[in-house]
Order: sequence, then C-alpha cells, then structure tokens
Amino acid sequence: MDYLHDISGRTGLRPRLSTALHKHWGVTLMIAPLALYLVVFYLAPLAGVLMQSLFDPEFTLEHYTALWTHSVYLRVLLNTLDISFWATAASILLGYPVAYGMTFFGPVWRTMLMAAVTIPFWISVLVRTYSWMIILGRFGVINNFLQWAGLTDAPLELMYNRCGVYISLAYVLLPFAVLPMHSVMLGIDRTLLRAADSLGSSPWQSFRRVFLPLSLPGVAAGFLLTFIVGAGTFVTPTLMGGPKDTVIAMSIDSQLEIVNDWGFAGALSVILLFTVMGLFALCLRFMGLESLFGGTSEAHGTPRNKRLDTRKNIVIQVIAHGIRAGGIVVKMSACSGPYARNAAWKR
Amino acid sequence: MALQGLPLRLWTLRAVCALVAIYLIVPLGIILPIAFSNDTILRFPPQSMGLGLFQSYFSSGPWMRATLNSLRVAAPVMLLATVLGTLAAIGIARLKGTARQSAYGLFISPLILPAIINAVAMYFFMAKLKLIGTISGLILAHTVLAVPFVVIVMTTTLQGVDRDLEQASNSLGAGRLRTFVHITLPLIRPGLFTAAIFAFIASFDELITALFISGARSTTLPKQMWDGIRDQMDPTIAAVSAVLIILAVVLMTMAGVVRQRSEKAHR
Repeated sequence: MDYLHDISGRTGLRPRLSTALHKHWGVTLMIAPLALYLVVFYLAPLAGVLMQSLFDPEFTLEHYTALWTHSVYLRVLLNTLDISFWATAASILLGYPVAYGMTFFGPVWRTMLMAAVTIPFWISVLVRTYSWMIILGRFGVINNFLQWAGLTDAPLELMYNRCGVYISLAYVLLPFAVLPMHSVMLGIDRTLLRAADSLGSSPWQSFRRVFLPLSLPGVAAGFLLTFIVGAGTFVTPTLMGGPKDTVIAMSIDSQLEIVNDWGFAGALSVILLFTVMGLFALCLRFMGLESLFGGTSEAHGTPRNKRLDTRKNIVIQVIAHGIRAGGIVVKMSACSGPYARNAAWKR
Repeated sequence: MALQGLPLRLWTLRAVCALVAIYLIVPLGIILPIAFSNDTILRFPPQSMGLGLFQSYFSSGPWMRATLNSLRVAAPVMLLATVLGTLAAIGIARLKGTARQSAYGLFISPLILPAIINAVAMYFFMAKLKLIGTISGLILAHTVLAVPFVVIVMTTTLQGVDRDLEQASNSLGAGRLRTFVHITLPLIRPGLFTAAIFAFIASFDELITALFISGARSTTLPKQMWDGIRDQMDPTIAAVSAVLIILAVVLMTMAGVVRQRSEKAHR
C-alpha cells in the first residue's frame, strides 16, 4: 500500500498540492529547530525576568515602586542615559567623516578605513577597555608623556571619572555608529550630486543640501543602535568610571551579586529595556524620524514602511529599526569588511 | 565626486579620517609592546622587552584552565550555532514578506538586546535548571548570542547564490538533498566558514553572561581577565589581550582569504 501511495504521489495525481506542501514543510523544518531553540533558551528566560519582577510569589508592583522611593536608582537611570547619549553623540560626530570618506575615497583608503573600523569591532570589549586603562591611567601613556614633556607636575585624573567613561565608551561604540551610516551613504544616488554640481552649486552646497539630508536616515539608524548598545553597557563604565558613574547595568549586577534580590534585578532589567525603547518611540513619534527610517529600510531591499503601521505599532517599529541597524553592522563588517576586494554594496 | 578639484577640502577630510583611524587602531597597538615586556607593573613605555608575560600566561594553572574552558564552550557553540543558523537562513531565503521579516528579526534580536538583560535572564533560567557553573549551561547560553552572526552572514551569502543553478540541478533529476550537497553547499562554503568563525569569536570573547552563570570551575578566559583587571592590575592580562587581538586578526584574515579565493574562483 505504501508503495502504491508513493507512486501515486510521484506520478502527479495531485502535483500542485504536494509541491506546495513540500515547500511549506521544507521551510518549516529548516526554521523550526532554531525557532524552538530560541523560544526555550531566549524568549522563555526573558519572560522569566518579567515574571520574576512582577510575582513574589504573588503579583506585586513592589519592585517597581521601590525604584521611585529610592532616589538613587533614578540617579543611576539618568547616569545611564547621560553617558550613553554623550558617548553616542561623540561617536556619530567622529564616525560621520569616516563613513563619508569611505564612500568617496579610492580602494586603498577605503580598505584601510574599513579595517580600522571593523577590526576593533571583532576584538573583545574587555580588551578594548583595558587598553584605555593603560592609556588614561595614573602611570598611563598620556600622563607619562605629559610629565615627561614637563606640561604637568602631578598625573591628571583621566579615569575613574565621567571623562574616562566618555572617552573609552565612545571608542567602543564607534563601529556601531560608522557602519549603519556608511551603509546608507552607499545607497545614495551619486547622479543627484552630479546634478547639483552641474546646476552650479559649490561642493559644500551640494554636500549640505543634497548629501547630508539623504544621509540622515543612516545617522538616525546609527544613533539608535549606538544608543541602545551604550545604555546597556556594563564593562566600560565599571572599569573606567568612579563611584558617581554607576549605570543601570552595574546596579543590576550588584542586586544579583551582592544583595541577591532577584525581583528587583528583574525590575531594573525591564526598566532598562523599556526606557531605551520608550525614548526611541518618543523620537519616532514627535521628531518625525519615521520618515527618516523609511529610507533605511528602502536601502536594504525591503519595501518602504507603511505610514499607517508606523503610528499604530510604534513599539514594533522601534524594535524593528534597532534590529535592522544591528544587522547592518554585522553584515557590513562580515561581508564587505576590510578583506572584501570590491565593495559589494556599491550600486 | 563633489570633492574633486578642491584638494584642500579633500585633504581635510582625509586628515580627519586618518585621525579617527589612528584613534581606532592605536589603543590596540599600545597593548602589544606591553605584552612583549618583562615588567611586573603596568607602565608605558615598558622598561624591558621579553617574553616574560607570555611565559607567565602559558605556565599559569588558572589562566590555562580558563582558556581551555573557553575553548570547550566556544567549539560546541560554533557547531550548534552554525548548524541551527544555516538551516534557518536557508528557510528564511524561501520566505517572503512579513514572515521573512519577523523570522529574521527574531533570530538576530539577541544581537541588540542589552547584554545585561540577557545575562540576567540566563541567570534565572540556568539557576532553575541547576546549570549554573556548568560548561553545558554556558554552551546553551552562548549559542543564543552566536546565532545572529550566523543567520546574518548566511542570509547575505544565500542572496548571492544563483537559484538557477539549483533549479538546473533539480531539473536534471537530482533530489533536494543531492542538489544541496553538490550545488548549494560548495557555493555557500566561504560564507559558512565566516559564519563559524564569527560564532566562535562571539562565544570566546563573551563576558557578561559568563560573569553571571559560570562558577569557579567553569571560569572562562574573559571572566578570568575581568577578575584579574578588577582585583589587581596583573600585567599578564596584557599578554592575554595580545593573544586575543592576534587571534581575532588571524581569524578575520582567514575568513577574508577564503572569501577572496571563492570570489576569484567564481569569476
């Protein structure tokens, strides 16, 4: 019987249905293992954090209200946003010329700059922060040089304060800022610039009036991604900061390691997640960034977002844009990194 | 384009780019001379050159144990993430529209979720499963973090694969499996290699989750470094950092060479 059934299947009694099923099952079978894995070892644990913060063992909001009664945590939250904002701003400002340069320079410069951006991206954050401890420390490179040159008598306090955190965090975050910006810049139609030139605009004018506005979606995507990474950062502020530079990730760590308060650690994690997402929802809502982000999605082969969806599912939009920007960074550093002979991204 | 004919502007841009590139590379370069010194306290420039720090790294029990633990975690993670991620990427390549976007979004979302949140989630989860302080706990947790790299690299690689070749193979009578093994696999091999390397590095360098869920016996290399940096500025760390920098550069170069070679072969 089985044999007959097999034959009837193959001889095309229901060819269309069977191929459709076949295709459908093929896709499901290939995606299912990873999807299941992530549901069990990623989504379930994340849901566990939310539950831990809300049930103790009965439903309670105590862990969240504790946050407002102890003003120290509000301070920590503000520290986190301040540190992440300024480090992000610095990396965008430093990164823009590099991203811009990589779109215009010849192959040698492009390869060198791409290597300079992507190699640090693949080296542990711990190692990168450690090198800044060597540079900014009391007996570090800068202090030794300044004293050798006779510019200062006593070593400057360059780390274990906010200054050290800003400098080293901007360094760690720079690749996250450059790669999304560069990706969008590669998608800008060069003929528009030539058109501006031929209509008599100066190079500066065609940059400011044509290139800059078209590159803003990349700036926004880079800012979003860099800020998210910066707000969740733990290693750099812990090693480079002083007692006044506690960020939320450090509070979460000490709640678990020292106080052993799971519920409160869970609440802090949930707050970190929602603060970051909430800030960007605000940006999308009130600063009209959604039109800017519409451009990024276009640059990557997906259809322009529908405006209606943007208003309705702003949370989903925020997540989607953050994820997309993260994907761009890895894609750029992996597939058109310093070792790629010709930029596959060039149109 | 807009810059041509205005050398001053071009040179200013070049100078700014060069300065930022120096800012990016020099901090990594500074570790190397320190690593090749015999100094017992951390200072720059180092006083005496030699292999003393590497010697103390390679002869130290705790450092070697931590390195071995990291390898014992990263190798299975590489395998698991590459298999799961590649299968999923092949599935995604056959999807369209919203389904494609959501699947891709879910698979690469661990990449941008703040690491500390994932670490807390893993800590609670592994504590319930009694997997804190075990190598298997670390493998399970790191695979989640390594998968996005594989999915991104493989999705991009598959976009570059000519589907006509698969169809030609099918129409010539080869089954799905045969087509995959003889046609698709050779085409995506360089991508697979890159993806595996990225998955390996993602696990080998991972600190925050390891900080939470690895115990005294399953301490990984980054955790050992973290303890070393926090407790006392042990200069051995400079040697370990140099090893990590060289490892990353070597692995990335290997991935690049493999990709270039296949580009040449397919031209």
